[in-house]
Amino acid sequence: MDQTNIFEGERIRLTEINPKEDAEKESQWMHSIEYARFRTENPVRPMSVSEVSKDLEEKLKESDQERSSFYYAIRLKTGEKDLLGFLHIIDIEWPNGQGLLQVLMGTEEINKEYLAETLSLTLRYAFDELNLYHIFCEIPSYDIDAIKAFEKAGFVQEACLREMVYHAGKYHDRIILGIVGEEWRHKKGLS
Amino acid sequence: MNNKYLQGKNVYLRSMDIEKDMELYSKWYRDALFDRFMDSMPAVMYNKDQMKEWYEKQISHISAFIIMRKEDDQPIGFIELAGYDWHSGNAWLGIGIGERENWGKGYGTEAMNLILKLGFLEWNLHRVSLSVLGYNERAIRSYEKVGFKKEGSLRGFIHREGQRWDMPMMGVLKNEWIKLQENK
Repeated sequence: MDQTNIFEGERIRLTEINPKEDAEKESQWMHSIEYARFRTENPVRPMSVSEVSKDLEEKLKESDQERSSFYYAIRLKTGEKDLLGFLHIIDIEWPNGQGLLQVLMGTEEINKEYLAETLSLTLRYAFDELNLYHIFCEIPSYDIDAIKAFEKAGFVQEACLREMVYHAGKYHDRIILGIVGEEWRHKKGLS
Repeated sequence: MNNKYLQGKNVYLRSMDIEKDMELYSKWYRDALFDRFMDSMPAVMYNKDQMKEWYEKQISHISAFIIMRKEDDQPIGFIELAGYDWHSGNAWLGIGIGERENWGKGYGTEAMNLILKLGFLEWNLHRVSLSVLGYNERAIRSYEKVGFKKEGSLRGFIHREGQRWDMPMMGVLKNEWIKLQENK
């Protein structure tokens, strides 16, 4: 068995979430509508520190009870305080080996710098540890950089839900990208 | 029981009553195929109290109706819109026709047009979405009849009987559905 720590990459690591400490930064991030879009629904809006903290606590509680979702923090290895974003693997259907992936990076700059490394940790965790068959994520069609990054990691476009996202006064498509564990193994040259 | 607000030719919709209708659901779920045509998760059975408890948790996100057959005022299935995203104008459709003898008779198609009328013309939804199990070909044909278009498939989503099936995703836009009604 692989003796390396699968929660650690070259520059970043996945850790548990500490709602009280992590809420401060996430509430700041949420004042960007693009971040808030992935985090809130009906309608998209920023949440205060106390709202975020309560929401994170509820997510962790739900995760403990249902065991069908996982919420982690993405941090720099150099400092525990250096929160980069959050990783959610949710709606897991164990009998089918399916999970919905959400990667929420704090800012555009963080996303550019660390998304690829986050995805490589995420895929290893999803397939080698959770033993999922296939994971997928949902990205608005205008977020071309994210779509490219997911494709580079091995995801393929599986569906295009037309005019599903209302943003900046227009309807946009929602792209679903997915990857099967076998494809990931093949790509890594492990099989 | 004469709430015939949403009337079709052979069926009408009435509001689902969480106090009275759960026994119907329990009965329908006794046929595993009912569940296996509808849900990617393993078929399970719940008594009416368990059903009610489940629905109570969801009720603020679901608008559920019982599909009634006109000729004898019998409940034959359910239909619902759920998971609203109001600012983008999307909702998810779910439908099940209970007894096998009522399958393939066009009741579901008619019920869907009734609920789409409500969703598009009253609630101002922009689109309605659904996912379907790849092996449920009759359902796919029926969705296409009311205007749903296939928008892709989650690959190998369902694992049953040692095999993998895709999960097609489908959607219909308000303007597409309205055009179909005008051409009728």
